[in-house]
Amino acid sequence: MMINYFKDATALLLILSSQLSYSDLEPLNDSNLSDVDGAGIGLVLEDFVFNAGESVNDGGTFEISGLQTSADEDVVIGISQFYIAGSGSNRGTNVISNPVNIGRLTNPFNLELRDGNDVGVVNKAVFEFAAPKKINGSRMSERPDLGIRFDLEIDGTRYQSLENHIESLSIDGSYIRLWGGNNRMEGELALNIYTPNIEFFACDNTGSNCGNTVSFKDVSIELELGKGDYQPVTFEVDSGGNFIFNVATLQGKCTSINGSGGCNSGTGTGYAELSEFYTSGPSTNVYINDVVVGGQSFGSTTIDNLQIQYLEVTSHDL
Amino acid sequence: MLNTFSRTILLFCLSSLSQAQLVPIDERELSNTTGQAFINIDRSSSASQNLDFTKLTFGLDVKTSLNADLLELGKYDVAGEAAGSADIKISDFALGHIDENGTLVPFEISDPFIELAFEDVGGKQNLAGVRLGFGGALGKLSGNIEYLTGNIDVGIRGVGRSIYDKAGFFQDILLAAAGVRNNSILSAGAELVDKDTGLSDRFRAQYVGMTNGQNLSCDQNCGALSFLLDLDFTSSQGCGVLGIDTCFPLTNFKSLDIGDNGNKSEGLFLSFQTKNIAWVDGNTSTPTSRGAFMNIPNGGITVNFDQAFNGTPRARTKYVDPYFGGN
Repeated sequence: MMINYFKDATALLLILSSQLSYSDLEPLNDSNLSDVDGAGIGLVLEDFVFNAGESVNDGGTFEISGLQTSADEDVVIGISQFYIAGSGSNRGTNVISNPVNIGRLTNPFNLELRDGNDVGVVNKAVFEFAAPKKINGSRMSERPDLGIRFDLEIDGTRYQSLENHIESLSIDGSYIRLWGGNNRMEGELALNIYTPNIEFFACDNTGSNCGNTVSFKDVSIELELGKGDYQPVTFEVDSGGNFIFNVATLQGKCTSINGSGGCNSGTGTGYAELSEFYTSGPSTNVYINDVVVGGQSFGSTTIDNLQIQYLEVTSHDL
Repeated sequence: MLNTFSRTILLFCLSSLSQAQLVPIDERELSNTTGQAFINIDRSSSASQNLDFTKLTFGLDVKTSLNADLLELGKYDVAGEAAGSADIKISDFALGHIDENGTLVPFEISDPFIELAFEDVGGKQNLAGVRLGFGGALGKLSGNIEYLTGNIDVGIRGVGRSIYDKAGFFQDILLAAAGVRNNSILSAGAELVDKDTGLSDRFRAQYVGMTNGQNLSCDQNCGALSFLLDLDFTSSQGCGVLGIDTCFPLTNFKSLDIGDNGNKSEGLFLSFQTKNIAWVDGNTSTPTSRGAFMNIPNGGITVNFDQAFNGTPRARTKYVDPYFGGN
């Protein structure tokens, strides 16, 4: 009894003293937060189907308006169908009865707070949203079909539809990581796209009478942007409402520049870090086994080990 | 009792801290919000080609420096072309460069666009071509250009001395007779050619140079008989003028300056089409051939005769660069 009374009195004293001292909850600093290692949250959508658009059971129209031509005519892009379904959706005609699992219980999509020291962000906590891991080249998640149909309308006249269908899509190994740095949000991104077939074709203004199909066969895209706090990626909006997307420059990473602008080797010059960046840093690889148009083959396309040393994209009014 | 009291105090303390909170924007307020107009969509037609074009332009200014081990588009076998060749193949591709002070000089792009071409065949809209283009481009493009399908019209302009350096005794006499002096300013246009024939060759080309029948022009400090340069015997035939080579391997040009006297040049694009298509930019029409195609416009690249004969050296594109001894 006496002990309980003492506890209550202590609690009350602490509360009152906190009120008097105007102290409140303080955020954990990055160093403390980086020690937090939660298990994260796994996300799995079982028997998932998404099917929307005006051509779906008289559904509502999703439109992008406010666009203009260079002659200031109004442009409306209507999305008459957007679907995510299981494999074998047959260009969006077999959707509702064809569900798919997005992620698996053994390999879900993950929301996680990670120790930044494990991912190249020193002494900071890193928020990560990651797709199922890619293990030994295999795809650990189920592979949905995905498609979209755009309708183009200019100055009140509907011209044509453009359809895009992606079969058995996998994004395993993709992730986005975010952390606080330099009074802003910084991040890095990896996006993997694997699919046996991406199709494009156009139809007339009624959505029928479709033309030749352009097929990209056996597509593999592995995109990496940013490298921890060595080369962070930022996205900001300036006071004029325009966005600025930035992949930080490598300029300044070397403290000993030689006569031709290169980095002198030696301890502490930054040479080792730059060498590591060029040999195993973030890179983008694209491979398309074949581009087929109306049955004609136009061969393979390869972009190998594309590395970005600097990128700044700023939008402006047209 | 104290326990309950302490909880009450605690709630009071918490409420005193939450004096402001975020308020969601309602639908009406949100509907009044508009983004920046950085996208244009245009549609046009070409009756002569039986094509409709839809063009999506992005109001973007891009500055970048990038390197890639390989850029290869349209790799498939074609009769008459080398096995394993591609429409476009550039190894050690790079945009932008690093100057001698270690300053990264980015490649600049403005207003990129994607354009689709549709062919009306019996009422069906066949997708016939797509191109990625740039409203303006400026900076160094580096790489070993092994195959190129497209336009890469190079302007050559320089002093006569460079040609004398390549000429033999008999050629010296002919050049002197034609009024070419050491300080004469000569110019010529060059384009993708077949080295064996001297004919224009825009498909999987490996050489750039003067086509058959093309003459050098003398622009300044010319002798009285410089009109001789316009005669047939001084025109390029089979990739030679007076026995001097006028065609050069594309791989000689390790780094190319894209732009027009320090300003962004228009007309740089990469396209893919299933048939010959003339892409239109304002008053300029650029014919392209089936397959992948890269267009670098007139005035985009100018080299002097020394650079034409000997090539242009590769600019530094990495801080640790194998082309500069590994550092």
